[in-house]
Amino acid sequence: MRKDKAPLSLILPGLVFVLVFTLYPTVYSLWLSFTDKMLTGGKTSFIGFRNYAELIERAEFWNSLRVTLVYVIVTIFFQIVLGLSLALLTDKKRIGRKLLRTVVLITWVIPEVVVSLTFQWMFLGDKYGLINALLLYLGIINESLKWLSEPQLTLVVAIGMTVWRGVAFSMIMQMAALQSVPETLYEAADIDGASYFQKLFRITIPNISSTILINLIIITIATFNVMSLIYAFSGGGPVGATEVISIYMYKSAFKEFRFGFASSISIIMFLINILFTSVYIRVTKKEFIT
Amino acid sequence: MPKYRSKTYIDLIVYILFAMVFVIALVPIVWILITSIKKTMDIFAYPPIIVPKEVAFENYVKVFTLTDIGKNFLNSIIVAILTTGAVILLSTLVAYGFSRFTFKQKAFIMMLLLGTQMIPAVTNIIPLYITMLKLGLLDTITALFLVYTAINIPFSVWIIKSYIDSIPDSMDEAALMDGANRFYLIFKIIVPVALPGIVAASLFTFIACWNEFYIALVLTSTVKSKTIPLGLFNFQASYDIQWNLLCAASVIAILPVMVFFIILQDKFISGLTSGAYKG
Repeated sequence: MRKDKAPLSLILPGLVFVLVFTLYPTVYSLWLSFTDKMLTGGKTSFIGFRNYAELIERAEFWNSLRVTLVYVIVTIFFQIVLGLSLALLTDKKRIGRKLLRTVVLITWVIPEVVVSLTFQWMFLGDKYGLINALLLYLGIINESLKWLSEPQLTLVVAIGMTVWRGVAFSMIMQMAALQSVPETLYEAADIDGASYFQKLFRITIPNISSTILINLIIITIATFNVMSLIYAFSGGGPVGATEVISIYMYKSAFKEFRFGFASSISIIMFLINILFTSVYIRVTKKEFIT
Repeated sequence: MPKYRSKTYIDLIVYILFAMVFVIALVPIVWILITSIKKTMDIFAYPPIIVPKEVAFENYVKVFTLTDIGKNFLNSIIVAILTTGAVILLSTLVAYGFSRFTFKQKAFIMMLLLGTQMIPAVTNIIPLYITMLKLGLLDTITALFLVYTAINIPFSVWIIKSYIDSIPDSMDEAALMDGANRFYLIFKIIVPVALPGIVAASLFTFIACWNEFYIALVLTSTVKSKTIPLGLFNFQASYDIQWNLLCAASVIAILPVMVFFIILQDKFISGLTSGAYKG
């Protein structure tokens, strides 16, 4: 390891770029949250914690928190369970497993907006929607379900769509972890005549529990911050049923033009992110900086 | 032979599950492909037409002639390529600096750089809007380029650094001894060896730019700078959605990422499992 002036010239350009467009805006946002700044201009003045005080009295804020909570919990549950199932399913060498993996990963690389539009198209609320047509044909339902205008149903589709897209990420992470479980553990269990599920719950899951935990935190952060996928899908509607917190923030900022107020929402979100991240760092302490 | 029987039994269940996963993963994609080549009159039919009798490939031509998708596509290509280039250049230098030198506060600076990844876009969106407004860059590709470059550097540094770390320091020593300067050393000796990492980082950056919606939603407002996700979103928000054209446009939007992904799938997986990706 050399000690000279070189690292500065190497690191500075990239570092400055990053800090100017990521850290500086965050500080700016914090300041804005204590002001009454409007997009439309006018005089801006410092108003202390008034935005935050207003926020906790707003029914829309509590609604968006509730929606986000339901959305995050249900999504991560299915994403973890299905991701692990898929990882287990493709763990053993079998014909077709690589193809399966490719297909599942494709769901993850296509643009979020395309996913949103595709689900809108499949879940049209009349019999022309693919899903309604299928359910009608199979006799599961007698009349078309209003997937996109019934509040509860829309949230269900939004969650299903998120899981459809996100499960690949969990699968890949668990897959890598499964490969690290020593084969000798299974051989020993086989000799003792252990069943598949005994091995799963006594050997596999305990051995990959830290990966599951890391995966859980990353997905929690990602789904908590969700914006594009849901906004392009439903715009937060109907009647706020899918208005997650980032959509509420977006509307306050760019539909009601209240930059100061909206910044207080974004700072609350930032703090929650910090909370998740500190858990993440604690869990991955060793891997975070190498 | 009961053991043999139970094995084929398990194989059968596994393959039924394989088939189910295939169907669930592929149906939405296949459905937009089918819709994209349907005649307008075939779109709303009950029961839905699975295999259209008449195929309308002209939908793809219409997308380019009747809508702004062509321009959106071009904007996306430009932004994604410029961003990827800038990200790789800056990240390689930073990664090399972190990998080869010790200096005061190194751990803190690395932590700071990687930590910015954890700031959600939502938190920064209003300041970014105000900044671009002040700089006169609202509704320009430049604005997207600047922001995308900044947010993609930390992850790329992470990936590239892990490859540079594995190159022995003696290679640098030898090159410097031969009188090579630092930049020659980095680009002629380090880069070729760290290429797998650089390719993975490029792939992630390109896909991230190609798919990005939220920041573009706020920073762009006309066809001049709107990227393809915005083009699709506007298309859908327009009064009368023509689903066959929208699906054709979606297929066009998927194509580049799909091609890259299928060619470079293994790089993609190794990048994902490197542990620094935020989902």
